[in-house]
Amino acid sequence: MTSTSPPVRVVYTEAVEALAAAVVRALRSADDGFRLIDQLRPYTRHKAGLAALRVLGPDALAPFVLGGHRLDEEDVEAVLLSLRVFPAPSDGPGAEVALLQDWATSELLVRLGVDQLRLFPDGFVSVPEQPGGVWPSPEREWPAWGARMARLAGLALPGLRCPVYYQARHHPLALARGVTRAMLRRDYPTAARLVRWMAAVEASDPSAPHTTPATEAGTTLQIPPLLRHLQIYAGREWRSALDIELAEHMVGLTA
Amino acid sequence: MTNQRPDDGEIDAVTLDHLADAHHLASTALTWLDASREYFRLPRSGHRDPNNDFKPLGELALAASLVMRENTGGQRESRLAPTLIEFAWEELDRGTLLYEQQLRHPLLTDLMEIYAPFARAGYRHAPLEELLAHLTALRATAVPEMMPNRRLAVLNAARVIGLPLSADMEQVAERTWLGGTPEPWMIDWSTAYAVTHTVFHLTDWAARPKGLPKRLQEYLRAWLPVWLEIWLEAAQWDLVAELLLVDVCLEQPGYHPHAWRKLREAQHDNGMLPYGPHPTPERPEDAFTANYHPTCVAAIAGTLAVSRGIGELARHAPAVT
Repeated sequence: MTSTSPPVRVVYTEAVEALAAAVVRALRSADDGFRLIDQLRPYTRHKAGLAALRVLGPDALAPFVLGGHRLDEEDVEAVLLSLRVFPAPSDGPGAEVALLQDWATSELLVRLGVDQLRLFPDGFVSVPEQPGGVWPSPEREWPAWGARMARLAGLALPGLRCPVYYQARHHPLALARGVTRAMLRRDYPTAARLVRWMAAVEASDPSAPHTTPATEAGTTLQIPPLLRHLQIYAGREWRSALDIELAEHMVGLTA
Repeated sequence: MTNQRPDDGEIDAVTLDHLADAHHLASTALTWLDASREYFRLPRSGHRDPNNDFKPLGELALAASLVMRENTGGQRESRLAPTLIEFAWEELDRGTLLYEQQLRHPLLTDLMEIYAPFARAGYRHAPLEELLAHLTALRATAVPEMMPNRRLAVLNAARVIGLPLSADMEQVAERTWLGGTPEPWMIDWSTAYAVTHTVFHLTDWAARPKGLPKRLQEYLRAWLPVWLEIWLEAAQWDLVAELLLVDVCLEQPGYHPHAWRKLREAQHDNGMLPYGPHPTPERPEDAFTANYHPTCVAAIAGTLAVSRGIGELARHAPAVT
């Protein structure tokens, strides 16, 4: 007898999309209660739900940080379990993203009232000063610089301050070039991630260049038309929809 | 209104590598154009289509006239360019064919555009100029049904020939796509060509960078590097060459040495620059039809890059005491 279950990888991918969808819906409406634990229930056979939680990392907490939902004890336990079950890789391409996302998750949990000692009893957690060593030059190597910023877009959340945030803030032209390149390549997921950084900078710094309405010379990008465009072209992919939704929240475009 | 450019990203230094690549590109492109003379020839008989038949000769003349204007090539280029324009002028029966077609099609502007590089190089046809002076003074030619970037081409041709302009070039530039400084992420392939030509005509092929309004220069400095990456990745060599030519038309070019290198790598050993990623046709006449345009652009872009680069180097060279 052959199994009709989909391959594990498919289940995991779907779990990430489903959790992203739930987070988007929770951000759009604070009326219905949102609990992380409810999102994990369909995945009792696999650890896919926990893996999804691990992949989304700090984004999974956005409904509590931004959307007015209340984080309860079971949800905290679920997040901590996901970190234990899927420890961050210590090297390889995913290591930097995992390390910084874990830092961001812990920051948000502490902000939501969770005791820091519960999170990392071994005494983890300060932001790495120079994540991943040397950065590509935002002037000469802006495509590589932008690709790295896109991978780290999970850190683009209100109030999170780390070296990656300052990269975004100090290099608006490189960021805008990265967005423009991704848009022209129709790589909308990357574009959405980079626009999210633009939104995070604008949200944190009213004098940041992106906040000016298109300058006469058009050397900065306006965020609202980008987000509308992305919503139409990429809004059906839930992870991109989540990036777009968070960007809209940060620049105050949500209803 | 801020206009911050905190990490304004260009490499300001002219590199010798990029000059070598640009020189090689231009020099070998001219060699190929020279070797392709027989394909540039007009059909000896039959009906002529003034829109299309003269176009290759016009582009050859443009390239040659700019090489002559800059006069920065090696000895070979300095010798080749005048012989190429002389050849093209002869093919056009020393301007008489342009004149006859212009008489027949008084509203057609292509003929004046083709004539301009000849006039620049000192090849004049008095009856044609008299006719053009009459036609360009008519209200009928002052209100052409024409895209603004094309209008700039016609106005620049009139300027080069020495005719009065029927419109203000800066005002026309306002109505181009570039003039609107639009979202740079909305550009497409054909719009990119409209942008490049807007720049070529406003600056008269890099002769007067100040002819491009400051705000458009800033806009291009911000986004040209992105567009270059996009069309380098797509191996659209003709458009890459035109974008590099745009860069050279700016008051402060970014130079983009890696793009010059890729263009040189894409160029065939015989000097022909392929239009894009598709294989070059095997028959020489088909290869010519497909690629004479990008090869003319390569000759122009390389020549102007060398000229600008040498000028920059000279400006920054330590004073000899």
